[in-house]
Amino acid sequence: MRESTLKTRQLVFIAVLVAQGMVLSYIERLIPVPFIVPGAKIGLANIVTLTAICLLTFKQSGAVVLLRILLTASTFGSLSSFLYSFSGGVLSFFIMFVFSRVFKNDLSLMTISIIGAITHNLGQLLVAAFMIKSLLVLGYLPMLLVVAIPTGIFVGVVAKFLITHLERVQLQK
Amino acid sequence: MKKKEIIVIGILFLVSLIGALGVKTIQNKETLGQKEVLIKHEGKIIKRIPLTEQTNTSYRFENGEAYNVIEVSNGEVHIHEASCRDQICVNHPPISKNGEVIVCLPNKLVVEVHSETEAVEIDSIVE
Repeated sequence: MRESTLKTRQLVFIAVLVAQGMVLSYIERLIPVPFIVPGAKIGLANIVTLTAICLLTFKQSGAVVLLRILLTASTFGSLSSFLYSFSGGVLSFFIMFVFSRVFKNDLSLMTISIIGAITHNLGQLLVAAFMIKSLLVLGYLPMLLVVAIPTGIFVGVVAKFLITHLERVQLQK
Repeated sequence: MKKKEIIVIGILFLVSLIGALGVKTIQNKETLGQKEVLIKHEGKIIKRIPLTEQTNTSYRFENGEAYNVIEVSNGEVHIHEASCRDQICVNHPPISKNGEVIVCLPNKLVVEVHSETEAVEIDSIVE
């Protein structure tokens, strides 16, 4: 395949993933909090992050995550919601990327997704504790983790389906 | 998914479940002292309201455009109204026990129940 064709394909793929991530973030806002824990979310946008990590390079998948967070915050969110999704999103992206490359054959997508859900919560809560200058919010962490594991499994299963179909698209040389 | 992964995740789930129950147990501990509602903004206490069965009051916090209306009644505290879009603090169930908190992240507001004579001091402030 020609270099330029490949480049265009990658560009389109990144754009599609960013758009999907934005829509999923929006849909997530429409779902009323389905859990007893305040602030707990399903993490639908993580489906897109996982897909990007599996199919793209570090730079490309990083771009997907950053663009999604920036665009979502500037269209539907505020400065504070940007800070929280940024801290959670970037931390979970780095950790998931490292785990997916280091333990390529040892860890399933579900486990990577759970790791992502846990680090997302951790990053957000740490920033929250710093912003409101109270460590008491960390008391929510265990409860959030209890929710993060089932939602992480769900996200992992969905991403698995998506990736199996998308693997047929040639994106790398 | 491999067997090892399932075991590790299972353990993690149990540990967080125990942790969550632990936090609840600390909060549910009966306290002898006078309970107080502390309203904090960016870590600074801006209002103290004594919390008894008879207290019946509301407090409006304002910071520019942002506001929260905190209501104290029947020995419980809840946020009645807030300017933020997610309304997590408004939907939070009422709190009444030592160490319980309602947080409004967008407005950087913390409402917590605090009791002076509590042996387990879990309240701390990051300076």
